Amino acid sequence: MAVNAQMNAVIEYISSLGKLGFFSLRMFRTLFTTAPQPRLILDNLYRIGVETLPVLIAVCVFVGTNLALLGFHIFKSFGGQSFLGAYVGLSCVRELAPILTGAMLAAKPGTDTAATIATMRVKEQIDALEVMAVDPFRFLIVPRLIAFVIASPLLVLFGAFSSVAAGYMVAVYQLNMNPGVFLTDLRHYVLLSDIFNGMLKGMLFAVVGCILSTYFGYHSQPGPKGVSRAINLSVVTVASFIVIFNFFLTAAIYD
Amino acid sequence: MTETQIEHAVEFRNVTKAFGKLVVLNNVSCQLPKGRTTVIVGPSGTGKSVFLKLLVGLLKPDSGTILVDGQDITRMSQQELFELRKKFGMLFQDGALFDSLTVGDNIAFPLRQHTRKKNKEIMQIVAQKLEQVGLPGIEGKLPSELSGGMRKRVGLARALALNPEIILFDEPNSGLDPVMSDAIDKLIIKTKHLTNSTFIVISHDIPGTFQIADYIVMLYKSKVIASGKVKDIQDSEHPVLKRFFARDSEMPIDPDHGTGQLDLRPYYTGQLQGG
Ligand SMILES: Nc1ncnc2c1ncn2[C@@H]1O[C@H](COP(=O)(O)OP(=O)(O)O)[C@@H](O)[C@H]1O
Ligand SMILES: [Mg+2]
Repeated sequence: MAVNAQMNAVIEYISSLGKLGFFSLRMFRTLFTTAPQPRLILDNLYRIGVETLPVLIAVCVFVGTNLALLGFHIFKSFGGQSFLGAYVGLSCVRELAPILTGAMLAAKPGTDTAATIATMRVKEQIDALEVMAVDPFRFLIVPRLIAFVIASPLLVLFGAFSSVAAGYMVAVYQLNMNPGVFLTDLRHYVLLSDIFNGMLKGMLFAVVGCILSTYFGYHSQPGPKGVSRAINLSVVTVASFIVIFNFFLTAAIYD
Repeated sequence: MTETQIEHAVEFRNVTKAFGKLVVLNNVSCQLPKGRTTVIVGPSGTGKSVFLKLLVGLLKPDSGTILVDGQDITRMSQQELFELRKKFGMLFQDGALFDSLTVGDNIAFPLRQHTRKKNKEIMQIVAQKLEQVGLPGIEGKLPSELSGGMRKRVGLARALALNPEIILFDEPNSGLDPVMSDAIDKLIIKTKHLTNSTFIVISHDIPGTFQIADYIVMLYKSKVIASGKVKDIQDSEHPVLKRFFARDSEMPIDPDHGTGQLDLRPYYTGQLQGG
């Protein structure tokens, strides 16, 4: 009995992975075989890119200030304050900006996507699309994917810039560091490839976040419970995935 | 007089559909005549909505064939299905209007997706369809501002937008009070007179059924237990039919399937298409 239940759980898990695989496959097939719809992409770019920007910058600013404060006190103990620029710069550009971008995307447009698509599923609007001969993947999912892909590297850039700038402000105006030292150090250690890798990482997080939030919305169970469960699953899965995936990415890129 | 002379818009041949262990339709065969109104009746949970979803290719049968205008839709690719679906208009249980679009944009939606008409012409068609369902001039309203009955009417206007050959109604009366319910039935009859389309209506509302139907298909315990002209069904001596039409509350409850209660829950397709 118990073994049987476990077997069922395993089978269910594998089949749900299979479903997710088919879902992603159909998503990318639609992406590459249908003409993009500029109006829908622009609408989504606004909601995914522009509307996420203020909250991302706010979070990044305060992460940057705290990094500077923390780093300063650690480095001071062995007289290595001059490394503060490299420390703030590398942490923000390589790790924090991409992760925070992924997290904010999951929290704002990600939940919005899961909620919207789940509601449409529950209220039969996705069925209505299909019966009206409109492919829901082309109409609902692919424009969001494209918008996530375009917006995420730019968001990483803004996030990285604002966190480093905030770190610089704290270092110079509060901790009275020499601005030249901070900037030289920053320029010396933070390479263009770091910025590029950070943007790429943010884009990967965004793509995974988009796949998962659309997937959970698309397969929502009936009723308001189904919708709230879809939102929940989407944000929890994406957030935990990003943190874990980030470890492997960092290990692979910078080992 | 003979049945063979009637053209069929839709034909189910030995269609079986199960979800896991639950067999919803078991070897169902029936023919739905072209240009007429066929009502599919049966207690809640017998698979009427599943029947419609099979018919438009949202679900695939486990076995059997489904012919629409003589074409087997069970063998169609996703692309061919989308092409075929342009023949259909469907009114969903709660209208299934897009919440973020106005009434006008909702009705214009299929026209904008599938025709190259100018916006002015589209808005004329929208106005005309709204007039036809008795709600002229509400283009600017949002679906959330409408009552349940109005949403169904707008849903019907949207289903009619492309002048489809086959119009499907999923429980057009559910969730409505008797007066509104009767008004919807009258609207269906009126719409039928305005078009040559084939009407397929899902219902468990008995008086309404006799009002609008030319033909009836009765589903019970995952099988078709009767089908034919309204008169023949009404006069049938079949015990289940008699008790169902007499609204015997003990009968329509099918322990294996539904509760017999008025079924308002929106249905769910966890199925992937074409994947
Ligand atoms: N996608 C699905 N997955 C699993 N079960 C389903 C699905 N769609 C319908 N069912 C089940 O099939 C049965 C028939 O459902 P339905 O066709 O909605 O009945 P009704 O005649 O009331 O419209 C119900 O027991 C329902 O739970
Ligand atoms: Mg139903």
